[in-house]
Amino acid sequence: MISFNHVRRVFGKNCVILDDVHFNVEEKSFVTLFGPNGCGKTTLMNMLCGTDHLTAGRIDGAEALQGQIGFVFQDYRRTLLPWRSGADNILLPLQLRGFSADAQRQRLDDLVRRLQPDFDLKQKIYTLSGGQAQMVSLMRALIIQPRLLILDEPFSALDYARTLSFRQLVMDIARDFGLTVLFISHDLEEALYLGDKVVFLTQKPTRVAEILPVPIPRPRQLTLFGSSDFAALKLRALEIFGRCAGDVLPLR
Amino acid sequence: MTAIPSTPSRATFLLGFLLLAAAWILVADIGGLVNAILLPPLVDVLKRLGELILNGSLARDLGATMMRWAYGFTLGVTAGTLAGLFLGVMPRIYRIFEGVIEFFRALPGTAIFPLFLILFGIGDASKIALVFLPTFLLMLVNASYGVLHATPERRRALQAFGATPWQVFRHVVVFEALPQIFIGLRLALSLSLIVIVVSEMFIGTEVGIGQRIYDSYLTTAVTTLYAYLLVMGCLGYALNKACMMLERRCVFWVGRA
Repeated sequence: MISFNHVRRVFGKNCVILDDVHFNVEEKSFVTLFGPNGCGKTTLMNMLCGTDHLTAGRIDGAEALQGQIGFVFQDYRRTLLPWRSGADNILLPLQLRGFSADAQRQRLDDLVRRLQPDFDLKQKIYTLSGGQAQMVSLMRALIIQPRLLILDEPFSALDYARTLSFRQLVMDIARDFGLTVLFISHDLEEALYLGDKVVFLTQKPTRVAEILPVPIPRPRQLTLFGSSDFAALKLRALEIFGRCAGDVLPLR
Repeated sequence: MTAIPSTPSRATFLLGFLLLAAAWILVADIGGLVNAILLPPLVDVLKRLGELILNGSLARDLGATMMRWAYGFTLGVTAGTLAGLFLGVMPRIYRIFEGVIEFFRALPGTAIFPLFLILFGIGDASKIALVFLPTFLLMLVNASYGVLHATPERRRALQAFGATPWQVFRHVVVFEALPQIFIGLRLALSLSLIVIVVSEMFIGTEVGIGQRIYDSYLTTAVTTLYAYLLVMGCLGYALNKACMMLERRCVFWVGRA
């Protein structure tokens, strides 16, 4: 579906952020991107969306996806519009595309029926809790009926209980909506738990260190964390991460 | 950016004015502790104010002053806000003009009076222009500042949804700039009222509050002087209050988001 081919991004004259990034995202797969903070994961996603440009390389399949990518951002408070209600935030991508009021209402009703948010969408954003605001953010990404859903560390500002329930929700949505998902994470357990494969990125200049398939069947439940399969997979992931992080990680 | 402070209760609000009036009556009306030329009795001032209202001269002067102020202020707010929003979204152009804007902002309004007299004559045009210039500059600086310091994440989010530059401007930039625009509006309101009164005193006019205050000073008509000061105080207060109410209604999310 998408193929990142030797993608390179240089800021200024010499600041190499991404260097020869190369991996594929298959149709209806759940791919997690795992790497240290500031390694250029978000830049990579911006390039996929067309809001940043490549210095070299190409992203095959990106053009065919334009207008069909839903985006859930890390900092939902700073990406939602506080002067709008929850519903108006969700409908914004449709309004930008010139959907009629009836069509907007129909899409929203359909989405509410499927996700059943437990709060009033007429509330203004600043009255919502973190979990509710991130739910609005997720619904805003889904309202366009995307083929690809990108989630950029979406749970980093949520408490642990909310994070666990949202992980489950995202997996359910990916399955029920038949979505391809690119999930950026800096939590190794999360990356393994959610992904069909985990793309490990190195520190800057960022490359793909290794791609680790996750051969654990779905649906996955939280009890998976205690299984020996998951522990073995995590050990393997830690070894890869140790190579990515270099001296930073006291693995030996 | 700080939250808009909550308003005091009506009783608390009135208490301050009642205490001031009581002190005035005590010092000037009952005690006679101050020379009436410095502070005439409050009753005499209110009586004079009543006369000015009944004989129509207050309405005439106030109307003329407000008309000049409204022209200059409205033009200044409109042009300054539009220019500020434009410069805000064009940071390169803003940087070219930043020094020029700061230069004009640093010029005291009163220093420009003679130049405006030469340019626009002694009629209403010079007074309107004198209100326009500081209003325009304050709005320009604040509107462009509001745009330049807007949250970049919201713009990027809209771009990721495929918004055009105009849609980003309409759905995000204008709203992000609004709190700062209102700060400019309140500053411009206070300054423009000062400028209109001083310009009427300095340049002179047939009718206008500034002229009446100056005439009262020249003829030592202190009760009339105080009556007009009361009117100007009430007017400034009411306009500022209206501006704050509008601000609360328009930028309700500030301090909450």
